[in-house]
Amino acid sequence: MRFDPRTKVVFFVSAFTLAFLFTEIIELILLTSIMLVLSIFSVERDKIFGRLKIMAPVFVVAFFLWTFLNQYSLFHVYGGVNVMTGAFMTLRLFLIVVLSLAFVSFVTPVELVNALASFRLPYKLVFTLGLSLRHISTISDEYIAIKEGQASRGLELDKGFLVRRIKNYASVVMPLLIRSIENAEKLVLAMELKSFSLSGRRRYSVGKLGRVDYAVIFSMVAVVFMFLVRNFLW
Amino acid sequence: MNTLTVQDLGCKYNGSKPVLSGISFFLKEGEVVGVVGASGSGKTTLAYCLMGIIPNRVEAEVWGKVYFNDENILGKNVRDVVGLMNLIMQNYESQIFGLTVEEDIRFGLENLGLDEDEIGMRVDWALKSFGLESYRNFQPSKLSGGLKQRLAIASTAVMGSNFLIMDDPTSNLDWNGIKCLRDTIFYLKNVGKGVLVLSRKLKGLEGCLDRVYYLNGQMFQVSKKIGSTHSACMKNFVQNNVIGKENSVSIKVDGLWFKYEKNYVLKNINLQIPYNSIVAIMGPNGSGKTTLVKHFNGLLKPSKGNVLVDGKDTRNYSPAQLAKYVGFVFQDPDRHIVSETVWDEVTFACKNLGLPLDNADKALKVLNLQDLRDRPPYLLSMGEKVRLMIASVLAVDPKVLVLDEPTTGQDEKTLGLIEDAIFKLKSEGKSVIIVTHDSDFALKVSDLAIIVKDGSVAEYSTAKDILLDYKKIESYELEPPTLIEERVN
Repeated sequence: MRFDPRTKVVFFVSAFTLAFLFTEIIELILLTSIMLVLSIFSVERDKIFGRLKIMAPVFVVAFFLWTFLNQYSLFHVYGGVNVMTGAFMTLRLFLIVVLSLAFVSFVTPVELVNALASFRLPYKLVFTLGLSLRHISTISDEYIAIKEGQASRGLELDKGFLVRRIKNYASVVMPLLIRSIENAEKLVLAMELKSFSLSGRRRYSVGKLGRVDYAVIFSMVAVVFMFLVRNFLW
Repeated sequence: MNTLTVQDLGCKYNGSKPVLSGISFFLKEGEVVGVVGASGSGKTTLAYCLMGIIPNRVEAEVWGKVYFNDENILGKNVRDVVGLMNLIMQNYESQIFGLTVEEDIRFGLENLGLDEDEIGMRVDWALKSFGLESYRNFQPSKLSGGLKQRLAIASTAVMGSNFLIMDDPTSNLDWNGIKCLRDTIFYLKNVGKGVLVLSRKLKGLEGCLDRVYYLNGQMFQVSKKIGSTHSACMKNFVQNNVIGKENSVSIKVDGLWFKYEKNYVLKNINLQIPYNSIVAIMGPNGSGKTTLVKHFNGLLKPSKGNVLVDGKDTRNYSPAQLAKYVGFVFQDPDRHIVSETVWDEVTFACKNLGLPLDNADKALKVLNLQDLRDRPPYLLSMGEKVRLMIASVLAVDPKVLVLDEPTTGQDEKTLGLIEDAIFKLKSEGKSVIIVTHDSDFALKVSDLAIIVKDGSVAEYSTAKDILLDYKKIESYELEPPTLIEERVN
């Protein structure tokens, strides 16, 4: 089943909001389980679970910090071990990471731009976002190529103490900056060759919402509304 | 019929000598004119002058006349010129704006303020005419280089200008891409567009050209047969693959399999590269050539199998550690320059590796850069930057040198110096590995050739055996060397 881009954006925005509104661990477990099941069906399943695996040490550290130092400040130590707080906060962090990975996997840049345009966000904002998204891959390719080039000339980027590492990375960042400025100049020229002006209007193509789309959108908005009422008005 | 006439066009950048002078030619609708010239000969400057980019966006002095029929358009704003002619830039990817193929073709049309029906009609025409129908909803970043370029041409042509200028369109294409470009130019010609192709190399496009000019600051009409700026010297030189009989092995690849994500891009590669040899690695774009050579200096590690460099398993060494043994020169020098002077740049790798700087001086001399020692690298010409990158790798005195597409955009002088450096390394008993599409260059310098196709080694033999065999050239989709082209024609 294919969902409309607007449905996907509403779903993920609602899920992110819920991750912060939940106050019970069971609520977090429920939403995390749903997201993990959805991730299994993603075409980028291996990538999602691979990245979760890489981030495992972060979750472990988060658990210990929240369990043992949850009431610690620079000036006072209240002490106390709270495993539930540790588990809750770690699960919330885990859920946010899963949601971020799933968002990137399920919502393509085209869908995101089309969805935002249909929400009547300012044209300048949507066009700039679309252009930026298209160029992320260019900058990322440049970064990898520069890094490989410098490593091939004997530069150990991740060796030495902090100051040394910062100095090493300057050898990557400087050419990257220069390339980005050059690319930006080329982009301006290319836009002029395509007679571009911000007064023109792009047509961002969005289809009609289906019944299932409406059902998902209203359910998610209703759930968020319910938790807002519970947390702030009840 | 509309005609573009250029009369005595000249251009100079502030304080320098003229880049162009006395340029005169004409181009009619339905004609294709080729302008061949080395890097730095003024091709891009000529395109910028015609488009009004010079002097409106890039500061320079221009003189002469550029007539569109009877109207002199030299110096007009880019926006006014775009309706008459348009430019497909050398880096055509920067001209792709859409998040999908269809959206990219729509982009220029929407900017022209056309109504929705007209836009729809023109989009359908462009998709069909340029063979992009099945890619309508594709993201441009997922297309091959050849298709991306076709998209850049389609989305420019659809805007309706009478003339199209292509700035070095063949520079990043393999032989299939060049054939695809030739078909596109034929189509443009048949629908009555005038096309000006500015390129270092017109090989593969000869069939569709009406006239060819040679550009080197000034312009001369030449025979249609000119393939590239360095084809003329080919007749006198085919490398005689002299490899010492008892050479030891510099690189041994044993059952190499590699995948980035799901699918293997290298499949069971087995080969040995001897010392005292020059080896060309060739094959179509996307066949796995660069992926293979990135294993030689440890940038990539095998998914299965082993790669041994001078007897060392690359799995156990970082690229920085292997840099002492394998020098790697990448295609685009601008990506790697970090220092403030040529000397600092050439000693960059030595300093990283804690090596003496003695060889840096020698490397500068070999590549004729000793007089530029204190110059900022960013101010060098493209040819000088390429030489500088090679010098900075030679300064380490590696046992193996890998060059990725060293001929792209190079002039005669630079190519000559690169060749000298390559032969010198071989004479010192080292291995030189060259990834290239340029069959002429491969035939001229290399002893052996490895053909990579679909992630496997399709053939590994002497360069002569492969590159002078027309059937092999056809079956491996390689660019035919000038010698073969002349024999076939």
